[in-house]
Amino acid sequence: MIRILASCCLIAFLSVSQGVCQDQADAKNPAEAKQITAQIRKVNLEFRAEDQKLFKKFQAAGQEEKQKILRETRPALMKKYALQLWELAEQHRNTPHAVEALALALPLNGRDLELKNQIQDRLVEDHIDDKGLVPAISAFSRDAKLLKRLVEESKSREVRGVAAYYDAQRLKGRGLTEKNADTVIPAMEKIQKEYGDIELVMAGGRSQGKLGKLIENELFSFRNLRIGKEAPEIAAEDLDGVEFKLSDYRGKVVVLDFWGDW
Amino acid sequence: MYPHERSLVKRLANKPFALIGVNSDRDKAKLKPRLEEENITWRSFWNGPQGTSGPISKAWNVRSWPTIYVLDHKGVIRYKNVRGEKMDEAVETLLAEMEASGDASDTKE
Repeated sequence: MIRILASCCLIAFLSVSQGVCQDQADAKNPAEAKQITAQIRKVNLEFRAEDQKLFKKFQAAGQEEKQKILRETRPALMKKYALQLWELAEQHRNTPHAVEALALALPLNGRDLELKNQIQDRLVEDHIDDKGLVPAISAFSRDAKLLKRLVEESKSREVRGVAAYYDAQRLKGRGLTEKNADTVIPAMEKIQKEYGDIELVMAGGRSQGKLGKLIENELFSFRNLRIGKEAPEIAAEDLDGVEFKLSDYRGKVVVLDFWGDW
Repeated sequence: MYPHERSLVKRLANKPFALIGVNSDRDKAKLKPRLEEENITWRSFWNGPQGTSGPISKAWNVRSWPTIYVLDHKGVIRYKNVRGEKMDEAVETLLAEMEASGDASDTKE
């Protein structure tokens, strides 16, 4: 159990630590806007650096200290930076800076539910119609009520599309199955049709790709990558640059291992 | 991961079995010495310079590493994400199945 907990937290470590801010232009005063953006970026980068340091410490730590880092040190670190971002957002309330800072703060609330709700309420209250809300929506991905509200009420097509996408993900649960396919696939196809061109932007500005493509991949994997289906062909170079195909190995039992040396 | 794979490959060297990798390291040059160090003898597709966002893992919708698929001799996906002993069992089952079906007659030791 401890190992499972630890590895879940490692995944969270990595995903929270990857953010990189994007420039946000403010029409009023470009120089000032740039400075504020830089300030927000700096807080986020500082968090990342501190978090990396803590991660190194975590890796080297004994079992007891690992628990302490997961339960106390890291939540405290996250909260510290979430509060800094919150302060910046409050200073620039109702601007693109606020939505950016809040979107970065939201995944950093550690274990502080009160702070999480405070950030979340502010985001929805001030920015429901703002496409800058998109990077924050993944943090609401389990909140069916809130997602529904965004889909129904937001004037931003991007927000509606991404909220609908996360709602379909929520319906899907751990994966597409024969059981949930009848409800999930039509929902996904509808999003593909209405919002397929919209980018799924994460906190920090990284794009996961267009909703249409993400859904296409998932549907492909449900239809073709299931147990009992013939494996899709792979034709590519090996590590020496020599082209070969997965189907070259027909007639043999094959373990196909997606790996990396990290 | 490597030690288990090494022993599987060694143990089944004379069987109709192949371990095929899809490697998602960005830098092939850095990987080369690691292959020798770790005695990684099995063949891998390279997922390209985009690393984990490369075209093969994208097409296969791979989101976590390692991801394992076990295919039977007809190229049908039979198991997903079996590790360790479970992986060995899956392979043994499929090899036995293949032998029973008679398809293995001319590949036997």
